Amino acid sequence: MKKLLFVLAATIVLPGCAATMSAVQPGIVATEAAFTVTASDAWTRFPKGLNVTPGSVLTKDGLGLNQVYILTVEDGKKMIKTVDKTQNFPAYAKGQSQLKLVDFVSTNLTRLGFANLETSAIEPTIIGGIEGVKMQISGQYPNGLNMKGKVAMVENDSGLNLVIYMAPAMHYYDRDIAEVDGLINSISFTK
Amino acid sequence: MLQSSHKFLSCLLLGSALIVAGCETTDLGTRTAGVKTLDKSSSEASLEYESDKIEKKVAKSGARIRDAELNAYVSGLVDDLSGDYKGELRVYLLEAPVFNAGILPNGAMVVYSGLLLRVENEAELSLVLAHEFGHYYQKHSLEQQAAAKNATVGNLIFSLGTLGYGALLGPLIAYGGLMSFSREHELEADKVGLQTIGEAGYDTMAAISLWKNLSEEKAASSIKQVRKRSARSSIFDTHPASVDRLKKLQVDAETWKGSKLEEEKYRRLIRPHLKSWLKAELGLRDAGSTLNVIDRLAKNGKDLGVLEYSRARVYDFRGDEGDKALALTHYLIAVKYADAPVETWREIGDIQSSMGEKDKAAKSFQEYLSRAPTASDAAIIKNMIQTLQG
Repeated sequence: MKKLLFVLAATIVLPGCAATMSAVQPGIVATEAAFTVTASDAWTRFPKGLNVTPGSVLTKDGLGLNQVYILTVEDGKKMIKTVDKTQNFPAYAKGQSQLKLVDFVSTNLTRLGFANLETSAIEPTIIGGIEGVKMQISGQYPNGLNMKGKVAMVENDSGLNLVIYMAPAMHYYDRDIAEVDGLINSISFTK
Repeated sequence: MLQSSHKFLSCLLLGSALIVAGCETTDLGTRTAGVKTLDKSSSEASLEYESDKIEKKVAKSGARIRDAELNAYVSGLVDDLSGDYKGELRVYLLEAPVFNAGILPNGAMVVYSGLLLRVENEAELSLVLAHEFGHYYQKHSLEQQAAAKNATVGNLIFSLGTLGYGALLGPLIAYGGLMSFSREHELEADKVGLQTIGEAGYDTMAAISLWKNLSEEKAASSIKQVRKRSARSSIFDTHPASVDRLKKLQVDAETWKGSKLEEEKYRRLIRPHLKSWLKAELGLRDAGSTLNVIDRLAKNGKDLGVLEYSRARVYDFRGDEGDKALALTHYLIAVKYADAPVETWREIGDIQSSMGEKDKAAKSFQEYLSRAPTASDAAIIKNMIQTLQG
């Protein structure tokens, strides 16, 4: 947990470090996941080495203000990377029910340090042409700030494909949710 | 600190203490009740200043347990146990699935839900609280700093531990520096803890049962590194070897022996939190450890709806051969009790669905929806029922 928190904290304090960030222009965004998304606005890509998930992280104003995780978790693999051998994180297993997938995501987010994480408006929906699930999340950042978010998840042969958006409940979530919905609606599988 | 989750910092601090073993004395005596540090340039004032900053962050933390009755109860125990120091300590209960408690040099005490879940009665909790009070009373943070100041390396290490990491990572990591103590300090705090609860009339053998339970839980862990660490050295990373410590505890427990346990009262207070605290434990994906905790909680035959539901969840997630059937069995046991969470019906339906028992699954899901019509996952449950019914 301490190493995880260290990496997470490092990702929060380093957003101004130009050498480690890269610009993402509007248009089709290539990601570490098994799918692309199309952005209508400019984003910044967070350095792969500081990302605790096997995917891409986009932000506009720094991770404390908005973060979009775009990732694919392969069968038997974990959503969170850690080198601490005393820690065990949930592994994704292909073919689980949608209920188990919801639990998988919310458990992992809780393990990342979000307090009082709640899921709501959990609904089946078509994502990238396949039936998946969308849900709202809310909770608090470790510093107590209220957080709101949205998750889109869908399984295919590559694994569990996820877009996870989190932002402070005040102002930032509402400001960028339309753009994030655009990212989710534009999911196009590459594998 | 009862268990440091920050082994690295603890090792550095312990190392720094060993380096300076031959230097000037670091025994600073005991704290005087009600006396505040007047010299603002002193090390003590500096530590208190840092502690105040950390305490402010802890106070704002989203992980705080907001149960007024439970907070008042634990704070009241601390007041009762701290004698002349009553009112100097402030307690913060934090939800995190770790067996941990700690105290900052300014008197701010943190107690994690993982600890509250594992202590079985008021005597055991009081022991932990009195142990932490012992660190405060004996000025262990200041002594730790004084020891570190005796060596250049030690001083550097301490600064890194308390300021660098603290500034970077916020209160949870900062505890690692300000709440890690040496073996000698832990033994001193043990003694204060036992004497304090013994004089308050508690059964001091609670110390033995607490450490034994924790030792057994670590041995039951499904995570190899956790078991290995337990077998190799101590119950707690920063604490004296388990056998030595248990012997010392046994001798001291005989010296101050009371009889009060207050198991019923304690259980009543933590009962509303059992489900969420166990859910957090489940998130650790350490089936062996979690089953050990559930076994202990279930031994008095109380709260079996929640406990059997949680037990079933462990099997459900573990996914070993036969676990699905085992999970179903325990979900079905859980629903016989009034305190079974409504989600139990949903999980029964989910397993029945995965086993191809479509009619049974649809009925279980319908039962869930009838009991929780506004559930946040109602839409996908309805979708699953439709699929099951073809």
